[in-house]
Amino acid sequence: MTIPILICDDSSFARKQMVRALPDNWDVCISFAENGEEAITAIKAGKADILFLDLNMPVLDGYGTLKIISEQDLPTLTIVVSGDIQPEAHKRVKAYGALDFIKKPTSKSKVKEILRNYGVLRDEDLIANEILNEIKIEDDDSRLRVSEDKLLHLDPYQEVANVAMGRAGDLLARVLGVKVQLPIPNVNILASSELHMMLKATEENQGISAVCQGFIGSGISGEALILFYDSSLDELAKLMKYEGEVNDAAEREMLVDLSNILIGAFLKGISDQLDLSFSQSHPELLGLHRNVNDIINSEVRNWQEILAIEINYVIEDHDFKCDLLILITQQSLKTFNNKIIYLLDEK
Amino acid sequence: MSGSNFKEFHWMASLINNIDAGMVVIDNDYNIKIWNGFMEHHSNIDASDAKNKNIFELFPQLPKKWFQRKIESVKTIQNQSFITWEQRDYLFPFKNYRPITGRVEFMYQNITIIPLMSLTGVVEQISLIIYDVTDMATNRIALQQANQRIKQLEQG
Repeated sequence: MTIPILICDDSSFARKQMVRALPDNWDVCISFAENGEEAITAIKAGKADILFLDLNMPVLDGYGTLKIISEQDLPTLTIVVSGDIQPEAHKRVKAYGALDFIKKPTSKSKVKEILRNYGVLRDEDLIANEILNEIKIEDDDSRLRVSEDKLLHLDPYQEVANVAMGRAGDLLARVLGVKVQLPIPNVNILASSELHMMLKATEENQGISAVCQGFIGSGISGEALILFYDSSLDELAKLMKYEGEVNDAAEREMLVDLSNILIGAFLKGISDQLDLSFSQSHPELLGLHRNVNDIINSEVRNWQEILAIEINYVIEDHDFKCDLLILITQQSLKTFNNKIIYLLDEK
Repeated sequence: MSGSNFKEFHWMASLINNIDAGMVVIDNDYNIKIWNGFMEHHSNIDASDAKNKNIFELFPQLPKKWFQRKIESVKTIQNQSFITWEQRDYLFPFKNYRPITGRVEFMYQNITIIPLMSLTGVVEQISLIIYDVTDMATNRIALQQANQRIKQLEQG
C-alpha cells in the first residue's frame, strides 16, 4: 500500500535532504509544501498520512500548522524536522500534538528509527519493495552550480545556516536560561557598497555596538559580526546576571561573551556539517577601538561581492535583540559550494 | 610509549595544532616536518600535503637566498633570531585574517627562528613561529602617517 507523505519546508534544499533521508524501498508517494498553508491544503486533499514539518517558515510557521491540525483534527501524523534544538521547542511541538522531533540535518538512521518506533514502517514492507525502488526525487530549479554567470543558488546556504543558527540559538538559550526565537536566516549576496552602508550605520547610530571576528580554514574565509542594540544592554546584564554598574567595561565584557557564544557555535555548526575546520581571530570591538570610517575609506581592498548570512536573534518575553552577520568572501564561494554539493551527494 | 606519556603527547600535539600562531619545523634540507593548524588554515595546504615537501617548492615566492642566510646564521650562532614586519611585511603570503573589514590585504608577520638541538647538541631542525601582527603594523603605520601630517601642517 502506497503511503502518501508530505514534506513541508520552505527550503528546497531541506526538502531534498528530507527525501534522501527517507528509508530506501519504502512505498510512498511524496508531495511537497513550502509553508504551513500549502501543507494544510495538501492534508485536506489526503496527500499526507505522514507529515514532515519544518518550524521556521514564512506565511504560516510550523507551530501554527500544528495548531490548525489539532484544532480541526486533520488526519495526519506529524513529525517535526527542525534546526531549532532548544528543549523548549521540543516540548512545545509535542504539546501541540506532534508525534516526534527530528533535528536537522536529518539522518537516514534517525528517520528510520522514529518511523519504526511508531509502527509506521515495517521491515517486511521494505523487503517487498526492494525491487520496486521507484521513489522519484523532485528535480526542481535549485540545481547547484558555481556561477560563472553569477547565478548562485542561495537555498543550500540558507539551510546550512538554519542548522548552525539553531545550535547557536540553543547555546544562547541554555547560557541565559531563556527561550530564543529563531528567525529564518537571510542569505544574500551583498555588494561591498551595501556592506559599507551597514557598517557605517553602526557608527552613526549611537545605539549599536559591534564585535567582529575573522575566520579561515579549508579554503573558506570571512568574518563574523555581532550587531548589538544598546537598548538591550540592561536586559542582557540582567540575563547574564552581571553584577555591578553597567558601564563601558561591562558593555565590552558582555559583548565579547555574547559573540563567543554565538559566533563560536555558529561556525562550529557550519564546520561540523560541511566537515571543515576554522581558525578564528581574536574578536575586535568595532567602533570602540577603531574608527569605522577607516574601514570604509580603505582603498586597498578590492571589494567584491560578499555572501552575507544575517540572523536576527530575539529573546522571548525580554526586550533583547542582536544580529549575527556572517560574511564570506567571494573567493571562498567556489570551495563553499563544492562542500555543499558534497553534503548533498553524500546523503 | 607508556600510557601517561602518550596522553601528554596527545594534548601537546593538540595544543601545537590549535595555537593561534603558525608553527613550522624544517630539517637541514629545508623539508617541512611540522605544519600546524594555523599554517593549514591560512595557506589552505594540509599538514599531510606539506610534510616532507621542500619549503621552497611549496612556496616558490619565498626569497630563497635571504631566507637561507637567516637560517644558516641561526645554525651557526645556535641561538634564536627574529624577523620583524618592519624588515619584511611577511614571509608567507597569507591573506588578512579579517578579509572584509581589514585595512590591508595581507597578513603582516613577525617570525621567530629557533634552532632545535638534537640530544648530541647538533642543530638538526629549525622551528619557525609565525605571529600575525597585522593590527599592530597597520596601527603603527597609520600613526606614523598621522604624525607626518601634523609635522607638515606645523611647517606649512
